[in-house]
Amino acid sequence: MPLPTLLRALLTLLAITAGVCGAALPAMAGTLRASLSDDLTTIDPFVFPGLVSSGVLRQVYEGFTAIDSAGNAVPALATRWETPDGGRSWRFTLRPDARFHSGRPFTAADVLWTWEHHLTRKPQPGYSAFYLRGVEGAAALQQGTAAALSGVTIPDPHTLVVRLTEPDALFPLYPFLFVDRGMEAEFGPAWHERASGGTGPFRLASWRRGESVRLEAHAAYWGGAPAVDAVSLAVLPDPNTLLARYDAGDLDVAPLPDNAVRTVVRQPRYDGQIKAFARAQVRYLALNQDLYPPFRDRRVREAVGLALDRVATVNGLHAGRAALTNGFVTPGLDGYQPDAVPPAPFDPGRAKALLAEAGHAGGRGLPPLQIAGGPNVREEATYFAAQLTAVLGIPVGVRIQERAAFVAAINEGREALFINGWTADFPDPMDQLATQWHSASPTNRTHWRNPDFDRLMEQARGLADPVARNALYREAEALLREQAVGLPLPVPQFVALVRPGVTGLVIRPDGTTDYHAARLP
Amino acid sequence: MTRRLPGLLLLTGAAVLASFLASHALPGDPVLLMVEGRAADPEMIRRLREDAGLDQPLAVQFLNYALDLLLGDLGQSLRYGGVPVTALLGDALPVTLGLMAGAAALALPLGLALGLAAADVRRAWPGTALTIGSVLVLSAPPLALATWLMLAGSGTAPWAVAALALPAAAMIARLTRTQVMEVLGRDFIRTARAKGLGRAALLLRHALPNALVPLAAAVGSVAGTILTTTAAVETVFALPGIGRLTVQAVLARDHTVAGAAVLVFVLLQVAISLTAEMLIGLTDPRLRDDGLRDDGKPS
Repeated sequence: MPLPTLLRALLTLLAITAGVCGAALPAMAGTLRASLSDDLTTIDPFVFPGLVSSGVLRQVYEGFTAIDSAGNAVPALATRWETPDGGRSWRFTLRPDARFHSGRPFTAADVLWTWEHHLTRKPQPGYSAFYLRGVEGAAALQQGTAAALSGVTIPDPHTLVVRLTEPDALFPLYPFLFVDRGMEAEFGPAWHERASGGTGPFRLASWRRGESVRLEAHAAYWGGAPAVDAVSLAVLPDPNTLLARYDAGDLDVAPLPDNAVRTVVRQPRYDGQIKAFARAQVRYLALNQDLYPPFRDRRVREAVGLALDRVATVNGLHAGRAALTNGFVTPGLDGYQPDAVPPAPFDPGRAKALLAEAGHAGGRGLPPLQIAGGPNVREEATYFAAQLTAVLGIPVGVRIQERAAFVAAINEGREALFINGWTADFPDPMDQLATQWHSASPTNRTHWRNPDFDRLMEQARGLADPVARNALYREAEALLREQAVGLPLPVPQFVALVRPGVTGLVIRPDGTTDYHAARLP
Repeated sequence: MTRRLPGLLLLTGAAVLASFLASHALPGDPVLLMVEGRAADPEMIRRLREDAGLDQPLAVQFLNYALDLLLGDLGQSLRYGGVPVTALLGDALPVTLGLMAGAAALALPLGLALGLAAADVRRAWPGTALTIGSVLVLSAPPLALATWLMLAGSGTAPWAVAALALPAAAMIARLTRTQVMEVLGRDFIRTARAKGLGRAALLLRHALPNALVPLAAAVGSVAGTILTTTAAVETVFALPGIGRLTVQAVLARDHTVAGAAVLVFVLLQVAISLTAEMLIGLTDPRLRDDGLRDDGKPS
């Protein structure tokens, strides 16, 4: 029941004068106090979530599998998944002891209901509809020519068989969020605003838009009740405000934005409170060969790579909290193979020689360039631009745009040289290779096209054996490296300030914080 | 007041149109920002854009938006996955109004007290201190002042009120000082002083009430200052008011929310102006717009 505006304004005023408004969440016994870098965009598991929302929703809802702290796929609501035909159909054995927050048991019927709802809901396809494209009958259900999802059969309440139109070895890894099918009947279409409908370790207790989220422990969680009673998450987008609140003792955990890490880790007062975790992110300096013709010469691309001192950025910009790789799949991901090829060292002499070999000695004939990026890469872009200017012999500028403008520019292929990154959604290298480099991918922002690479990706999708799949990934990576399509950049770790005595808190490689094992002093 | 209503409506309409068009003119696609490139093929993006009406020509989009507005429907937020804009405003408005009320409650007594203290003609330093302090507070960018106070106060909300109240208090103090000094030079004050009235009584019983009339005339600009500073203060202190909602909506290209938030700001500004006019009318009958004129001379 919404309070009248005047009354709520009065309450806000009272709260302000009492000094407990905004991010200052009253500490309660057993409540872990942490923060979010932005507001949620939704608590509806059927709507496209932003990264922050998905991090919270994954505390509340679960899929067949989850990612562990090392980036491996581990059983969640499915205890086993098998394919008799190379990924064309999948048989899932579901966990028999999982219960929803409502107390109802989780069964195969809930999986089917969730999927059908994604495909039929109005006014837009649900978030997971994308992952369901390959299920037999999904298109017919979505277009309204069928009443049910024909590709799913349920032999018993804890077994589910899915038939796909094409083999997909990755289907069990997709980040589904299974929903209690009784919620809509009980609470109506806006049920998610009134109740929590998942099986996860925490139930969603409240979301005050722009202000805070409260999660409460699900005592009947199949993995055991969480060690804390609740988690309160204050929305604190500004790093200065975040640190001020942590310093004031209002937070137990403060995940740091990348551009604040360097200054924080060098302050002695935070000694022993800094925790770093691997990030399953691929980052690279992208070269658009369509837009900047000199980049079509591999020697020029290689010269750009040799002109960058990436080691210096690990130690300088990232204060050592970053992984230096020379690959297009990153650590913190199931299937990552430590790189056989060490990163090419900074070698301006060789870079100049290659440039001269390509007919551009001292930068002759090279049009001016700019390194484009979002606000979070300002320093890195400036540093690299200075190095490229010195080595290439042409002025290389920096074009920092706010995020929306930058995304629009790279989507439309309007940037020749830019810093791009991608954090994995599910624990398989496919999510970093195909999304960035397959010619049909909408997120292939360099517009690089290579039929051999595409073929490797398509073959890998049909290989249910991870070992065989990884062999193809290594081949694909070698191709990307050999072609110098982009220059791998150091991957910053997730860094958080954690109050002394707080233990067990983990940030998984996909960026989701695992509060389940967290303990307060 | 009623004569000005058509003009106000026109102004409001123009402001909403401008903010809607400005939001659309920025590069960036709200749907692409919403999905963040995840799990989205071109077909899904197309459907999402269609559902949001973004596939229509801009003129059609604006006409639909304007018609809905006239019918009282502010539409739905793209960023918040279809949540009605009215719900977002309903959450955010009380926060901003509460902040503004707190700031006004702090700024008024503080400004009056400082202004009175600085009107002391016997000592020069209070006036000088006020001048320097107010120049500093009023010339500092709101974002910088808010950040400084946030860090000074560990980001707690009372300091947010202070960040809003300080510029307003500085304005009130300067006005008070000027008016009080002007009143203190009048004949009736000399008479009162000759009768042996003390300084405090002179100030509080005679000078201040007379100085309040022009102060009431400045209420509009003081409240306007508070209102325009809310966006910076809410952003820095992470308070979920209208100001921060507007900033976030613009960044996310959430056109409907950006337009509606500007509408709220315009309406608040209009309400402030009208209230200020009423106050002026109450404190100085000569300025009442009732067709009668009182020349203020004793009969």
